Amino acid sequence: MANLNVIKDLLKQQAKKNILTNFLDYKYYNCAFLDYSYLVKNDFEEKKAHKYLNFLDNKCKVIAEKKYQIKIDSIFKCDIPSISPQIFFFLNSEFYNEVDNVDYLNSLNYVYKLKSIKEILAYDHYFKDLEEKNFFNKVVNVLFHNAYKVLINNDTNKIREPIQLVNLFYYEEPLHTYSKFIIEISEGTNVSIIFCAHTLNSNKYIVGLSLDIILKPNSKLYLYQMSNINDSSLYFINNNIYQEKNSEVNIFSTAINSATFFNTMNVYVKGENAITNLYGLWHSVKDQDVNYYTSVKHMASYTISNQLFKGIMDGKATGLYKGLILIEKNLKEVEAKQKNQNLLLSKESKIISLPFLRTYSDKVKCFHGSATGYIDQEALFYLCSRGIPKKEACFLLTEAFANEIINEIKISSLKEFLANLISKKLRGELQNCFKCEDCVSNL
Amino acid sequence: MLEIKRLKAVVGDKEILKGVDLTVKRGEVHAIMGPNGSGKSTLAGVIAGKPNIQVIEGSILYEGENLFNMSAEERAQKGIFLGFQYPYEIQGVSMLNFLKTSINHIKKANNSPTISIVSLANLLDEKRKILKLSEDFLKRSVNVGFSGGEKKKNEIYQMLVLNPKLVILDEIDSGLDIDALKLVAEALNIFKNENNALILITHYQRLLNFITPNYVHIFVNGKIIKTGDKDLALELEEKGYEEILSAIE
Repeated sequence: MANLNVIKDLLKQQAKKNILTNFLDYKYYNCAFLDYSYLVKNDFEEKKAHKYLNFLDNKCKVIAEKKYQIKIDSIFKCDIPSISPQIFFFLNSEFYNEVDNVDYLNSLNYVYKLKSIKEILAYDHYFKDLEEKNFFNKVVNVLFHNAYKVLINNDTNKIREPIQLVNLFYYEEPLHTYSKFIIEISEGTNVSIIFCAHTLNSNKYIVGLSLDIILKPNSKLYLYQMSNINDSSLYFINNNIYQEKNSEVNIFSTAINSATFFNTMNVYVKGENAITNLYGLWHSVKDQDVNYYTSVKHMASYTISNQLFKGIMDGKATGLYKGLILIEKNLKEVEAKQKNQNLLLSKESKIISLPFLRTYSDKVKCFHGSATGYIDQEALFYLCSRGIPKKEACFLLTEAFANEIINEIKISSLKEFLANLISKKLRGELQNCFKCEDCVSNL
Repeated sequence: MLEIKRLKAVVGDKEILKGVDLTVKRGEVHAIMGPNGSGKSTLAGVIAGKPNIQVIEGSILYEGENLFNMSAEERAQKGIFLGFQYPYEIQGVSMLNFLKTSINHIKKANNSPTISIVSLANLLDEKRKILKLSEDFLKRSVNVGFSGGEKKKNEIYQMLVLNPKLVILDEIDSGLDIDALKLVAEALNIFKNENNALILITHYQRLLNFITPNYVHIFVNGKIIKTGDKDLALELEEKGYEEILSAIE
């Protein structure tokens, strides 16, 4: 672990910069650095803190000093063809708007940079109890150097295509980068957002992102989160979701190429008749570490939530799923489901699964469960008895395990891409950060 | 085609097969009948290469080759097919993907080119119609949500599609209503020819009303105790195991 004093200095330096650039509220600054234990005091958050501190060292730049004058097309090509006509790029967390063929002004969707803490705090009340509970939220709140607003407007006269927010990371030295996205889905709007993060070389990155998502009444969001992060890096993403009445959120998070990955989803189901669907799918190998933390807080009657998280682990990979359903007092007709299933492909792989349910109302239907196991030997024999080699049969069963989530994806090209990605990774046809060499030579 | 000699096998600590001798030639149909727990399914499992059964004595030659040197998939690739008594459900693997993968691996092992999409579609459709399976059958996950009868028909469907040489059907008639039983029997009669062989493991005579066996074997306590022609099955149906066994003793 890095020397604590070095880390304190590093964080303090960044926090000071953020104060000067109007990006840090004094309440965070004071509590974070006058009392260092603020960051690590919660027992449940200990693993995150420990992992984070392990990744930190004083050689990491917190803000990229060098701005690259390069065409995105020359360093990045999306693997999913025709997925979205509207792509917004961010390079090292800076908004990269030198992209051709995007007419922002006439767009249904606006993405713009927030300039001061005042603008950011305007949304703070939606998630006011979060900073006390989530370590990575605290880290981003203290250290973020860029914040963006994504506003999805309601215009029923126009056909709405999915939009894509692509976060690219390329730097010549180790780099920390922290940014915040505030995504507001207007009343009555139905939208799909693909949110990606890619490291483009093998340098060490610490990538911290927070997505504060507000769903206005009668809105619907499909949010697909994908990542391709190299083996040396830490990637964490916090999803804080606030749902008003009759809204529906569907989050699909995949970690197929992420070495050390933390995804936290905190959902406040605030309005009646709101629906929440959270899906997570990961495949980790070698000593990769994938962690999902979910919390769905039902705060209104007639609400439905469903959580399905599936992990595939091979080699010495480790994983964690900690999920919570919380149903507040005096609610009725709430339905909440939570399921975590894990498939271990090696004896050395490990998973910790912690499904929690807390209900303070009687008239609710809840289900939660967890199952972890190896490949079903009887199913394996069934496939082998039809001439399918054992190894291939294992691949088929593993793909089948993942398909339960992939089949829920509504964008067919994305569905096909993910199925193909898992298939290739299982068969060893895909290296983590497989594009590195190409990208480096292009720069 | 198949030559089993003095076969003994254990599952865990328990000896299940206690000296089985059986010879099956091309073009033959053998029926193996016996009470519950006599070891019929274990015998089927040993031939197909089920991993939890340990052979402790004896030999099995398949087309002159030692079967014990082959993995389960190699046996299937060389033409052995087991129709399961309890077919497994595999959520997330479609019948189409399953059969395509299976056909192509069998072809690859036999140095044949992989099947074209058009030929595959024609083959699957032709065999599907024999068993009157619905059009969406191939889109469904393997055996998931199938009725007992559909699962058994699916075993026969796979047999027709893969066209193996030696077929062992473990209680294929259980769970089938009379119409489905006729369909399955018709399919077996379509499949049967001079170059393949069938071993039917069954409790009842009723399947044998539709497909005539060359040999009927009575299997008790881990071995074949009596072999006869089709009339033995009728006698068994009439008298029951106890009477036949006491006559042998």
